Amino acid sequence: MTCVAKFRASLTTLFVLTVLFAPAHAEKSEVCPWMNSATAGGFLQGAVTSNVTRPANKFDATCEFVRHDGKIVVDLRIEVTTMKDTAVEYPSYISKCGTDATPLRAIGNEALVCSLKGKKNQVVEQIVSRVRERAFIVRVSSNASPPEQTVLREKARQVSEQVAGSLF
Amino acid sequence: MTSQMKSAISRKVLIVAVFVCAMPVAFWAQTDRNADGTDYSVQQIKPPYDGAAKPVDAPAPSGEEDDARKYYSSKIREAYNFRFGSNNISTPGNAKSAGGDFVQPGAFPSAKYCSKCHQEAYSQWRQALHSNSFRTPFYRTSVNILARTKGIEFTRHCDSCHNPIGVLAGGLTQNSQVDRGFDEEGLTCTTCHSIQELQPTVGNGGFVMGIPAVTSDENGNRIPGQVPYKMIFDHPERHAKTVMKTFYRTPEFCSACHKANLPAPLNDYKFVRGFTVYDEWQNSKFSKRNPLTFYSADFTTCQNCHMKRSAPSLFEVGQKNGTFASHRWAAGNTAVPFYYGFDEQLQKTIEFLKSGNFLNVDLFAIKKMDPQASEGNSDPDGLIAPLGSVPFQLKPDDTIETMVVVQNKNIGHSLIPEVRDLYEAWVEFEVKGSDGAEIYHSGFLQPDGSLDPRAHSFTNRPVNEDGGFVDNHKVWTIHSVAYDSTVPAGRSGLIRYEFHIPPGTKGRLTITARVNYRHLRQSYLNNIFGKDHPAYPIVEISSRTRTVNLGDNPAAEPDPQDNSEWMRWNNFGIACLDQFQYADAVSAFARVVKLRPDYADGYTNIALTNILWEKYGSARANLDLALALSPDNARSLYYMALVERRSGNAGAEVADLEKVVAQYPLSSDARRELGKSYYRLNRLQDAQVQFESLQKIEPDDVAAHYNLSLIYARLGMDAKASEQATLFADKKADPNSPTYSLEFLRDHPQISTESVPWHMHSEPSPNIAGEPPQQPNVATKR
Repeated sequence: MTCVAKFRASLTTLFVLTVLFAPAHAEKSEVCPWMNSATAGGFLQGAVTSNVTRPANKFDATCEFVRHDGKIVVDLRIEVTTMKDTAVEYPSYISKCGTDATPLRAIGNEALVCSLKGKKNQVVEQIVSRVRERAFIVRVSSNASPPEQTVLREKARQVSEQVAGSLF
Repeated sequence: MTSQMKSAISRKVLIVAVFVCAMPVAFWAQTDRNADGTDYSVQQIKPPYDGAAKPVDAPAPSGEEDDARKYYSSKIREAYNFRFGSNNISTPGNAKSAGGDFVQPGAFPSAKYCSKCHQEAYSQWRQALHSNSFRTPFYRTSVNILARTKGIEFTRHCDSCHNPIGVLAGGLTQNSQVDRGFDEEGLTCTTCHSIQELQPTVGNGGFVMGIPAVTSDENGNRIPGQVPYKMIFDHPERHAKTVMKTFYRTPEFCSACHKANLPAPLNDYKFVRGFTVYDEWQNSKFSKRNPLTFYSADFTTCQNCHMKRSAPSLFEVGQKNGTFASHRWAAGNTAVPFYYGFDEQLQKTIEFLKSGNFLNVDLFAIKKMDPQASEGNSDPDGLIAPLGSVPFQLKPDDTIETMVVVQNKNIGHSLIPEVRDLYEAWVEFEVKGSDGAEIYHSGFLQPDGSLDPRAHSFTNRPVNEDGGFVDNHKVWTIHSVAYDSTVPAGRSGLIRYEFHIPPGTKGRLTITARVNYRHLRQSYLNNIFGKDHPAYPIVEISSRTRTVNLGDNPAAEPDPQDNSEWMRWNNFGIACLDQFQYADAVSAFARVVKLRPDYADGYTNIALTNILWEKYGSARANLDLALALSPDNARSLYYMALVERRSGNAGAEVADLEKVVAQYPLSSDARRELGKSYYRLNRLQDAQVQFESLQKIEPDDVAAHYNLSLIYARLGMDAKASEQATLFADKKADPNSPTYSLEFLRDHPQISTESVPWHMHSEPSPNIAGEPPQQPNVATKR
């Protein structure tokens, strides 16, 4: 390889790295109350974009963090809802995990983890949990190949621990 | 330009560009978490600093590390809340970093990285409190309230110890963009093992954190970050020297966090003492620093009890001669292992609590409440003691006072230590008839899991400025403590129960006293989880049962579980002394010297009581006896000095205290009293030395602040005088604080009784009466 070719290659590498290391400033002005973008980016192993939506209830919020890595898209969704009657409402959250759910210890008051069916080539891991009267759902999905179910499940657990920690 | 030059320039451009591009993400990028079970081979080790582009197979040059840290710090400073001063990154806590600036979270190698060679340590640590110092619901519930109500910047006080990486990384500020992935590891390996020096023993994170390093170069210079394993394997001695300091084995190391105060920047009020478990240890027999302990023991550190050595079951290169210092730090916390399902840690914790002969529970005495029923007893007060050693009679319809002595025998701190408003230790006292029917029961659990409100607890009651109980560990609202019924190391508590033997009762009574422990109190667990949580473990730390006949009870052979008779009397005397029952204390100590006339401390104990009773002549006579038996006895000399002071014999007073200080240079009491003695004699420089020495032992000692402010002023050292005066004004007790306590006690009559040192648990058990008691507590006060 000539020096010029090496220089071009270096510039190309520089461009790629610049894109890869671009700061995660894409988030909206609304800040996710349960986890900051840096932490979400840490779990998703890269810069993320985020979106926060709030229902009328000012205490609740749903946050979505997305990392794009070429064709690979990793998505983290955190939904927190305050229940008026835990005994009545929480079963509906549990049902979102279906019958294959596995109890998960040391997340909130109680938690279940399950795998969901995603879109084509998409692996989805979900945790349903609550802290007192506040239910939350953490969902991590990825279309990476080969599928990374174990890895995603662990990420979901770690995220859930953070979310529960902020809700206690 | 030659091709070599072009190539070199392009490489430099690339390196600079990558560095510049990478830096913006440095402070929020991924830390090396690898909880997915990644194999940490040398090739997979990530760069030591977040996002900093560095080779994976060689350490980064230190200059580059410095630059990365400077850049990181400058970015953090842009948005950091410096409410407590521009350079106070951890205030209201005390955590410091080398150089005083922020440290990238990625500078701390993960525990998984260490686990390659320290599997036993990792396994134990993962289940231990230190690794769960931040993430648990038990902690978060409290600290979240602080963050929500006052602001996250105030949590630097708690997190200086609970999450020092969070503090030093600058993560505790509004809208932080620090990646908090490290929260999961709490106090990770390289937090403790990176501490380079200790601050004075004031606690609240009184350490100086070095930039984490696991090895050094040939000149001893620390090489920061997560280096390739090969560097460690090639020079294990450098690794050992880098990560282990001699002071890690000292109680002072533990004091950095196992001592806490609530400073004015936290509470907008004034300095309030939190917990002082390190000072409790200093004052215990185990420190060999305090001449005033009632008993003696071999020097024992925090680590000797909480980091006992045992054979590792996993690969562990840190073992020596087949044993390894426990990184479980077994103590009292059963809640965390219970919540996380760490069964081994839970089991080890329970074993620890029940081991070590920490407590002695003594069913010491009974007393018949009907004066006529006491006729014929040898003791003029009707005291039947020690139980088992003296004959007595009981009959149905007798009303009995039972005295339970709980000796804090071998704990190096109080029963219970630290955040005693959250922990729950209490006496369960139970009397049953021959048929198993309950006659009296105190300290039972109510159907909702909460403790019998009339139980005798070893606890304290922090109170806020409205006279309300400080619930949820909102320590920043504490203005007073209504009472503290914990038992200091080496001392004893006396708990009195009065019960009536129902008419018609036949056969025997079984009397049991237990000291139970629950981590945490039920109401706090309810606050954390709501009321629908599982029952948390209750551990019986120690207990004693005696069976007594309704009729004749002859004297019996001593039970091996009981202390020897002289010690039983001695403990009873100590407990009476602490309840200000001076006559009873002197009487008990007199029994001690009768049983052991060679025991110098017995006479000193009488003298000590007489001093408190202001009977100085009697005190002197007994101290003379003690010193005749043990001429250089520091404890006797100390109290003799107080008697000499009272008598105006300043020379003898100083001479005695000087002897004490010579024997016990780290005795805070001796230094304080000798300083006062010198001051009275106008020996200002000598007094200055004593009070400055005292401050090294206990930096928060108010007498030292007060006297030094006077001494410095008289010596013309105005700036230092002013500094000490300010510290004294901040740390001295608020004269208004008792009013907050009184308000609380007025509102809680059942607790009010517990606040009186001498009190009786006397109301009938609601189980027997068939209905709840009409009054929460009708205990007698003396």
